[in-house]
Amino acid sequence: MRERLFPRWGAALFALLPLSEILYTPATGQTVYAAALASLICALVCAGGARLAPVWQRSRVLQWLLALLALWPIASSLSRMGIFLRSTVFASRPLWSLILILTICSLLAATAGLNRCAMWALPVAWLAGTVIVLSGVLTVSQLQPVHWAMPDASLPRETGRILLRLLPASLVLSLSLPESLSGAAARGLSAGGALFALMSLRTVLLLGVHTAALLPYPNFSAAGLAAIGDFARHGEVFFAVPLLLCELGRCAALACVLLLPFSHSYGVLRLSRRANQ
Amino acid sequence: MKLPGIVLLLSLLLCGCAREVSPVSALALDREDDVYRLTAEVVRQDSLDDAALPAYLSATGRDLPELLTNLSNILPGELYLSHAQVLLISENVAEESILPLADYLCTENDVRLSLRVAVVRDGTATDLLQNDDEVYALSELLDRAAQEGTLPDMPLYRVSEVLHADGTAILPALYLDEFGQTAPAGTAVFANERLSCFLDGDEIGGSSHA
Repeated sequence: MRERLFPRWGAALFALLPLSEILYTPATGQTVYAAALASLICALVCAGGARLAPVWQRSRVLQWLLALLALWPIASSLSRMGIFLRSTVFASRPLWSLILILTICSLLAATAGLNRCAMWALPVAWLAGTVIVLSGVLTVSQLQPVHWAMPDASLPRETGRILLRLLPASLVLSLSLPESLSGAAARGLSAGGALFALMSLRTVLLLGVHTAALLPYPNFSAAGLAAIGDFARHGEVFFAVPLLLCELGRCAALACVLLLPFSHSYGVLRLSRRANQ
Repeated sequence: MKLPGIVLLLSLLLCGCAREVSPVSALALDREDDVYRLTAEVVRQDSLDDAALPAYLSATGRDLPELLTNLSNILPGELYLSHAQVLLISENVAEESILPLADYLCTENDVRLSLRVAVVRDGTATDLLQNDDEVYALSELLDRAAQEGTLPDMPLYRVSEVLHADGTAILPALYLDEFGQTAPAGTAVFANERLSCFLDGDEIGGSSHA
C-alpha cells in the first residue's frame, strides 16, 4: 500500500518553515508585521502551488527543476545553522565540520522519505510551539509596551527580506507534495508565521529596538531572559534546540525533493524505479 | 548497523579536550588616569566541603577587550562570563560615556543580558566587590532591592536601550556603610551617557547618602 501524507503532517511540515526563521531574523519594530505579512503571502502562494503539485510531479523536467531550486534553500539553511552553532556553542570547531555534520544528518533523515519527514514534523512543530509559548509567557512581566512601533515605510523592505528566505523553500515543498494539500500548507504556514510574528514582538518589547539591533541573534538572546526562578536560567538553550530541529526537518524535507528525481518515491529512499510502484 | 556507526563517527567530530572553566560571578571596573582595572570574582570549586568560595583576580588595560584578554591570561581556566550577574563601576568610570561599555557587553557572547550594573559611591568598585565573602551576595542584594523598588531595576539590556534612545539612564548605587557593610546608596543619574548626579542631590564624590 502506498504511504499517505496526511493533512496534519503536511501542515506541520509547512509550519516548520517560518519557525526555522525565528533564530536568524533580526528584530526591528517592523519585523512583527513583516513576519506576519510574509507568512500570509507564502500561505496564499503555497496553497496555489499545492493544488498544482500532482500535475507538476508528472513531468520529469519539472521534477528536476524543483530539485535544482531546492539546492538554494538547503545551502542557506545549512550555512546559517553552522554559523549559528559556531558562534554560540562550538566556537573552537571549524565551520566546515559543523556544516558537514548537519548535511549528513539531513541526508540521513531524508532517506526516510518525504512522508516520514512530514510525520516527524508533527511532534517537532508541537515541541517548538510549546517552547515558544512558554518562553513568551515567562517574559510577559518584563515586556515594555513603549517599544511598540506602528508600521512605517521600511515594512515592504523587511517583508521582502523575509520572503526571500521563506518563499523559495515553501514554494519548492508545496510543488513537490504527493497529494493536493493546499489547505494544510496554508494552515501550517499561517500557524508557524503567527508564532514567528509573536516571537519578534516579544523580542522588541523586551529588549527594545536599539539593544535588539546590537545582537546577532536577538530572538535567541531574548529567550535567555526567560527563567523559572533560579532554575533553568539559561532559557535560550531550551529555546534554540527545538528551533534547530525545525530547521533540520526543513533541510531533510528539501533534501527529499532534491533526491526525488533519483528515488522516484516519497517513501523510504530506494534508488530504483520499482520503488515507485 | 550502518546508521549507528555513521552517527557515532559524526559525534566524534564534536569531541575534544575541554579546558577547565573559571566561572566569574561578579566584575568590578575601576579607572586610574587612563588605565582601567578589572577585578573578577571567580567561583572556586576546590574546597573540601563543596562550598563555593570567591577568589579575586585583577588585570589592567586600556579598554574592555584588552582587560578581558589580560584577565583570561591569568586565570587558571577559561574565562566563563555566563554566570556573571553584577558589574560594579566606580564613579571615575561612570564619569565618562558608559555606552561603549554597555554595547560591548551586550555583544559579548558569554555575557548575559540580565547582568546588573551598579555604580559604587565614595570608593573603588574592587573594594566593594571584595567586601563580601559570599558568592552572589551582591546580585541577591540588587535583585531584592529591585523587587522592593528601593533601587532601579536596570539589567544590562535596559541600560543599553535607554542610553541609545536618549542618553539618559538611572542605575543603582552602592557604598560601604560605616559598619563596613555593602548598602544601597540611592540612584545614579546618567545624562548624555555620563554620570550626572545622584538622585539624593549630592554632587559626584559627595559623602552623604540617601
